[in-house]
Amino acid sequence: MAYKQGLLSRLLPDVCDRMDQDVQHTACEVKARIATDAVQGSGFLMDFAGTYAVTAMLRHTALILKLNYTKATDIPDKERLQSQMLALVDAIVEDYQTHAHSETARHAQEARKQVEAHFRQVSPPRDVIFACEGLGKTYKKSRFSLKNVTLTLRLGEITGVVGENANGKTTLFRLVAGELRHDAGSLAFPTLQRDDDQSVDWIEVKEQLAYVPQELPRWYGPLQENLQYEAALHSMLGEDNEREVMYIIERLDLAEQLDKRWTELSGGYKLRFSLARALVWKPKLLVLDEPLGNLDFKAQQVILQDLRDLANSLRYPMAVLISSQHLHELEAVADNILFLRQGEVTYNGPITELGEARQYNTFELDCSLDLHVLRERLQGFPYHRLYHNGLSYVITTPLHLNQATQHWHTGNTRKRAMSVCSRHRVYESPVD
Amino acid sequence: MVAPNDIAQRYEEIQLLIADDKIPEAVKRTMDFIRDFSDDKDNVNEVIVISASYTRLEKAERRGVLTFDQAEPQRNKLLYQMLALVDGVQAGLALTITT
Repeated sequence: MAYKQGLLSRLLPDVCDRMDQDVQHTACEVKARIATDAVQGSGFLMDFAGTYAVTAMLRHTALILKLNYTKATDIPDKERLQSQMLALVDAIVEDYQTHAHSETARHAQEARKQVEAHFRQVSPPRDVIFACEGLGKTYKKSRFSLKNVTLTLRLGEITGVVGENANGKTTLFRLVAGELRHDAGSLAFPTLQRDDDQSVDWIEVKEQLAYVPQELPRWYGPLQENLQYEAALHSMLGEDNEREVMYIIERLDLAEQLDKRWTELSGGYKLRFSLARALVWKPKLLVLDEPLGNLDFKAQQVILQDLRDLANSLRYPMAVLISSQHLHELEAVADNILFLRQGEVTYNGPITELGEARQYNTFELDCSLDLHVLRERLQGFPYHRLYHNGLSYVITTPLHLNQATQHWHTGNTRKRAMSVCSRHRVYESPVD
Repeated sequence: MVAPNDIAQRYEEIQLLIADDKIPEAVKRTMDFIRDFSDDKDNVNEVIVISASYTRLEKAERRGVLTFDQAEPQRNKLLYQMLALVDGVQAGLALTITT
């Protein structure tokens, strides 16, 4: 912000004069933009306020005017907001000229910088919460085995476990949550136990581990009381209990559902309440077994974004272990991915490295052509495989499509095929 | 993704969400901001009240109890209150850190 240079007013008054001229010059440009195109102009106004306004209220007003102009539908409303924007530009210029070079503004700016620097030095905790090596479990009756899982979960990280049904995801999660006993390998919760004892003290661990199973158990009684009870079980009493419960209700957007009974809730809200019950006492490890299965796309995105933000908390970070049958559901938020196929790990590592060893790219093609017509259109295009999976076409192409297609047809045919190819890249996952 | 310890970026994220008309997300991120950076329980209570008031306002608007013109000043008031709360937390931190 320009007022950070308030010290200049004493040392270099001529520089301040130039800055004052700059603000007036910029103000004229911003006003011109607002007058010609208020949508674009409101963005410029925000930047202008962020740069020159010393008084916080003026910066806030710029934000809110931009918001209101976007929401307004009537022309008189839009005109009113436009003139308010123009008036705000003048107010910011006046504010800048009055306060920018003052001692108070300089102190405020320096203090703000110190706060920023202070928190930059505070590293977000990334302690290992759970680690297992060669973990395994065999069911004697079904002869299914989960084999050789090596996994590390850290605070602030989301680890996604992807696999089709009956490939060992729930078994792994129940082992991590202490619901099943492993019969191979070892597991540990390094930061959840006070003693360095080799064996796991499950009572101590479960005080900091929340497990949300695939089949959500029914709640009895008022929903809010269930949450209060859960918080009380973790020693949150009195005002703290009420505050933490209200916080999680608001944070997960559950307030409008509080009057309902459990059986009246939709699948999405049952999950959100279960999540609230798990999060209300701020666990360090959250284990979620296939939470996304019954949710529509939007609800999935909201839940995943909430998990991402909450896991990443500076004060109460947590490790999240989450499973899904579909990679695309988790790839936007997961830091690490583990693929399971028939009980065996086929990939385990950072999401950023997933698919690096692949030999092909796989795309979905969303078009209504018959297969033979599509094949005809793609004649000469060096794809590896093309088929219809029941919902859309799937095409497998060489990794370096641009190089591979340089000898292919030119003109409209190529462009049309390329446009359908670029719609969606699907990783060549070990599960598929 | 915004680094959790970058307070300036966290504040900017909230402002941009408001400007982009993503107010429910802005409220959530403000709740996270307050929880991460404020030790004062009153601040947590205040952000809970802001969130609850915004939910009620949205509900009233959705049900047609309030028109857009009636809802707008109330929404503005809540947003000013929310931004002032975040500013207040930063000012409080500045006092704590510099003294």
